[in-house]
Amino acid sequence: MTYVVAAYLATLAVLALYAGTLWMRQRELTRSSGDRR
Amino acid sequence: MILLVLAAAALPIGILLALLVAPVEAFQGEPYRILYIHVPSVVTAYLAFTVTFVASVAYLITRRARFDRLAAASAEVGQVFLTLVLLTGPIWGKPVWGAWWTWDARLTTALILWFIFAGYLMLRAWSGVQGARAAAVVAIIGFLDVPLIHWSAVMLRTLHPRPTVFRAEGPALPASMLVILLFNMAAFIVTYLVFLTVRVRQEAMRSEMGKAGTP
Repeated sequence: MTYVVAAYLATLAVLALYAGTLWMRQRELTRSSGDRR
Repeated sequence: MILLVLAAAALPIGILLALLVAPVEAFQGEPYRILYIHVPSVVTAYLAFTVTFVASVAYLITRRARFDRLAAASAEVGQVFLTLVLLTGPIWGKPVWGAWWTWDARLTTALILWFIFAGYLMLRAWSGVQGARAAAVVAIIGFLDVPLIHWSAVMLRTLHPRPTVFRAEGPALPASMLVILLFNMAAFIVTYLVFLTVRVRQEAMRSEMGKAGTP
């Protein structure tokens, strides 16, 4: 069961990391587009 | 927004079904449950790279920037799901094969695909808009590895099992496992669509900002 838990946690961690990266990128883009105006 | 809600609901439900409801496989036991995240990751990565391939061909023919943005966005999200394949595969392989990794045809071609699209993403990051045409060519050539990965387990002698769902004779899994696997595939594909939508929007924003900044 340890391997199963490790695989599921790794999957959730990668998806969460990517979602976080997208969120940070979006925040940066929104800020930059606000600065230009 | 609907896609985001769907993904946020479907992913945890799929995981709970896989861990608590799916029956234990007779030969492998508990490690078999990794199938419910490994196979959906493979299917989603294939789908993402197919979108990249089609969008790259469309870009080379029409030179419309929207196809280039779609290709770039889908390749990045596809790479995330391919990373999941290469993470969950070895974790499944260790208890079943007794090894984290083996250089057999299927695993090696999958790793090659990861490096091809890592190269594609680096090319995009470093060359900017000028590199769009070169990136499209890399994506089209790189995509040829996808059918090679699929057929390597069918045509060649490998340690990796043959496809159990997408095969000419129909799925080899019992209905109790197949339904949960298909549910998880749908959940992963919806998650891909959420990431893709956000990523395409970001590329469009960046492109607009680039145009606004040009004198």
